[in-house]
Amino acid sequence: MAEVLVIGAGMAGAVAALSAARAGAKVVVVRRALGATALSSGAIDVAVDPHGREEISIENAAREIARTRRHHPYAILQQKLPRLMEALQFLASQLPELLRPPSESNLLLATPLGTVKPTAMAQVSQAAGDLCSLPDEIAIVGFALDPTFDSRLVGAGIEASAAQMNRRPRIQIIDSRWPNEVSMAFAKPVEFASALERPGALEELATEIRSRLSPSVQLVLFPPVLGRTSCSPCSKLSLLLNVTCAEALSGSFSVPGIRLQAALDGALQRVGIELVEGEVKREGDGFAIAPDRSVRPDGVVLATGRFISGGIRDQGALREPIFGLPVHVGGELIDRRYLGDWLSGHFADEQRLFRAGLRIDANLRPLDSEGIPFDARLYAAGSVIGGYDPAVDKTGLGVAAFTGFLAGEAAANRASG
Amino acid sequence: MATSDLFDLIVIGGGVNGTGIARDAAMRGIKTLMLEKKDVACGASGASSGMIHGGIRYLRYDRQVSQLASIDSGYIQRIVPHLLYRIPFIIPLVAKDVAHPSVLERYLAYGAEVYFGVYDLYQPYKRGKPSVRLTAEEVYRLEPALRRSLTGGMSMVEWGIDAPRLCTLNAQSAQQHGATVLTYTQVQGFVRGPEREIAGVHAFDERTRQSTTYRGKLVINVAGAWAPKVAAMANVSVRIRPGKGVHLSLDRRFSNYGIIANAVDGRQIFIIPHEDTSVIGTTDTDYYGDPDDLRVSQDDVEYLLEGIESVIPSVRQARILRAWAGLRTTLYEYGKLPDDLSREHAIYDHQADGAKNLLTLIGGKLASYRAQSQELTDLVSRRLGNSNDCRTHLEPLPGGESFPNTADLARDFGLPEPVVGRMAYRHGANAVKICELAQQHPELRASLCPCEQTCYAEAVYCLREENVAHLTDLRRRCRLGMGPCQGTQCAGPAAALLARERGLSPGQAHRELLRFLDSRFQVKRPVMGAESLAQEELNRAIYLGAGNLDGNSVDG
Repeated sequence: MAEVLVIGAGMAGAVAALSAARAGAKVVVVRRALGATALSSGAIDVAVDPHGREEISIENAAREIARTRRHHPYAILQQKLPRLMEALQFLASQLPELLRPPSESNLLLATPLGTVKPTAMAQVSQAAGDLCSLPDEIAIVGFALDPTFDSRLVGAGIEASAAQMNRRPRIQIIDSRWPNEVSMAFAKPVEFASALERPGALEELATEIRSRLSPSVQLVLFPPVLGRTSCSPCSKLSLLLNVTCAEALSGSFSVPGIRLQAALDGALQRVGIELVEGEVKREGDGFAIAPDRSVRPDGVVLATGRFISGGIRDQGALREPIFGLPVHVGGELIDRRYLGDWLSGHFADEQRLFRAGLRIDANLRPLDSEGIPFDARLYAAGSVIGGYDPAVDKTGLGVAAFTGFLAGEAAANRASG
Repeated sequence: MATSDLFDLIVIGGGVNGTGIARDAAMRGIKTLMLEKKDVACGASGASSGMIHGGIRYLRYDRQVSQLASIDSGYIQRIVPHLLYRIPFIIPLVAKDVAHPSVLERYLAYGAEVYFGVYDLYQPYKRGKPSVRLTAEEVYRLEPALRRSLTGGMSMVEWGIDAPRLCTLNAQSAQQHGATVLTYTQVQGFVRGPEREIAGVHAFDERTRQSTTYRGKLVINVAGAWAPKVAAMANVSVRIRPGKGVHLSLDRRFSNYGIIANAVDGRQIFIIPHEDTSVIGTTDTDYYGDPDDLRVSQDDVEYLLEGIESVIPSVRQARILRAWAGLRTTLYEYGKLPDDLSREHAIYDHQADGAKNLLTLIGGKLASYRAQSQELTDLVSRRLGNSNDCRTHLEPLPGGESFPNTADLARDFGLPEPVVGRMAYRHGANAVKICELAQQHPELRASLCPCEQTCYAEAVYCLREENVAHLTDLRRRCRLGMGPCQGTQCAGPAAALLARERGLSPGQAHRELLRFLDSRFQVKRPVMGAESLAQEELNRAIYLGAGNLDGNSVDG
């Protein structure tokens, strides 16, 4: 049986491992720590049309990105782009309780900043708040003691975006006094999530909301703190209130991000994939993955992320630390240059530095500085690959899932073939 | 264009001089208007090292500058005691071969002792302690992180201050005494009277997008690096020699002492502790560009790190949080090195230049801002026939009346003591008002900026009481977004708070938020690398990725 080593267990690494296992390989995953997936909003951005056409399908939006951004992984993997939806469906099938399968076009979700955001796939609790099918009346719940989620700003944001669709939904703001403990003023979102998991807490919250909820409300939007490991608190609230409940999207300290990572861990466990916590070191032809354990895999997937997760590091120059692979921006090698040269203008402008990463070929193999695959066994997945900026391109976890799906399969097939 | 009432005095510039003069004049009953094109302390005042020091560096050629600064430092400690903090300095004495210092090295050590002995004469003015000559063992006992190449050291005491808050409090006090303070209002031209004398200014309010004519009997140009531009609008030439000064802020407190080091060119630079961080300063290079385009270069950063590395070898292990630059407005002199330029100030009356009633104040230093303001306001008073005395050294600035017992406050109001401690440092006696606000609204006890221990109540207080126009102004009121994460945590919640307090639309809130994030980006840009890359990637994931701030139209 072929052996595949996956380095990293975020979205890219987990999907690569699951995909390699499905292709028949024996997989071991090594992770150093939680990374960008656990810090994410927990929703999966795949593609938003660069020209802002909302009705366009996700697949066509990805094609459009491939056409306009020549170094984007979608462009480099253009031949494989027809398998994008298959990859997303595979992901959804692995996390059936958490993820809603991808629909044809993007969902539109409200954020705590008072913006709305198109995203391809979301957790069940998030997708229930899809504003594309805009209800006539929405209630927005805020916790008085959690000032990080401002229900009025969220409501005003929904109104502003609805106005662009010539809709005027009624918005009911509910300032909840739950949890009535003054010490919670110092709590982080994850502590609110944990307080909601105490016995009786959901019932208590539902009782308070029910007493104030307008009867014609069709959707109740909550702060994104409904469950650390599953979406069940959200569905339970829907049952208790007898109306659709949903979570707003999350930015910082994201509980849904933690939940997504927990579900990926669960999926690996379910399939029987071994997950080792530690660092990988190259050791001759093989790899040391624990103090007293080495492996000599037939295929390796490098899914170590970018700056947050440490897949790309600044060690005097930008480098991929495990294999020492060179880092590129677009077609250009970033060597010993001042990194400020790759930054320009203003915060929200395109910043080339944040497209930095490995260059790959059409088979996801990382290239050395000569443009030749570094090692025939090695594949890359996720944001360790350069050429895209997850924040600006809105292709974050979607690229991770897509490249993970392909890289896992390729590593397993290379190994068996 | 609307026209205002007649003011006695119009002050152009909201730095420490502008706010200081506005306060002094208003306290004497002079009807005063202060105009600032951005927020207070947006130029050299805010970009300074924030030290109320006697300027030991100036002792060599400007003894009166040192004396004036030391005396005034004592006054400043009296009127705003809460805003100052003591910085004990170590001045390392180095030798190439520690066992056998050369004659020159021994001579320099002796010279330092004599030099500091002279400076000691001024210490009583500013509640400083006399210097002490330390042996190498004593220096290493105080600060083990220092490089093992010292023959000993000298000690010295200086005082740090929150300069943006000093400006804020002066402006607030001016308002309390009847002055009109307008920020984000840019002077666009001068009004001339029947005899071509200056009779006021035209100014554009960035927020209302309206121009107004303000009539005034006297106009004072204290626009710092922008003073030549302002003077040019009256066809007057003012010449300064602007020196760019760069500071770096590091993510850790390397030492409890300020440490002096020699840079590669022999100039003295320093690293000082500030709360949980350290600040390195400063460069001094001539700058000929537009003051609005001032940028930190890679060379500036490297110069400072290299210099500090000569005394603290581990300095490069730190993450640089931000780098910022300011322009010293030293008097123009030809044939001098930037460091040797006088920090003396000068007042120019432009009557002879065909601009009667226009005065310009150039130069000076933070530590003697009050005395400079007094000197200028004395002149203004004489011109206006006002015989009231200056009282700015006697009456405390807002909050300076007393310093609260922070342990008691924390206990009585159920707030964490570090939060109250920082609050009291920033607001003095007014910290009690903030605690009361938090008591009335328990949700305001939450932490808004954990890096700087700023709670919601403090930010709300600043929004209501301290003339905040934009989210970025909160940075200068309560240090919002100044710490290790540079706004990643607080920017979004703070924008929501601003929207709530001011009734902003989502579009307006998003503009404020982007403007704030961009202000942080500009100071991170020159030092982006290593761990900062992860921080910035997260920042972008939150605000552009999950927050989609760049994908929402920001009109309305």
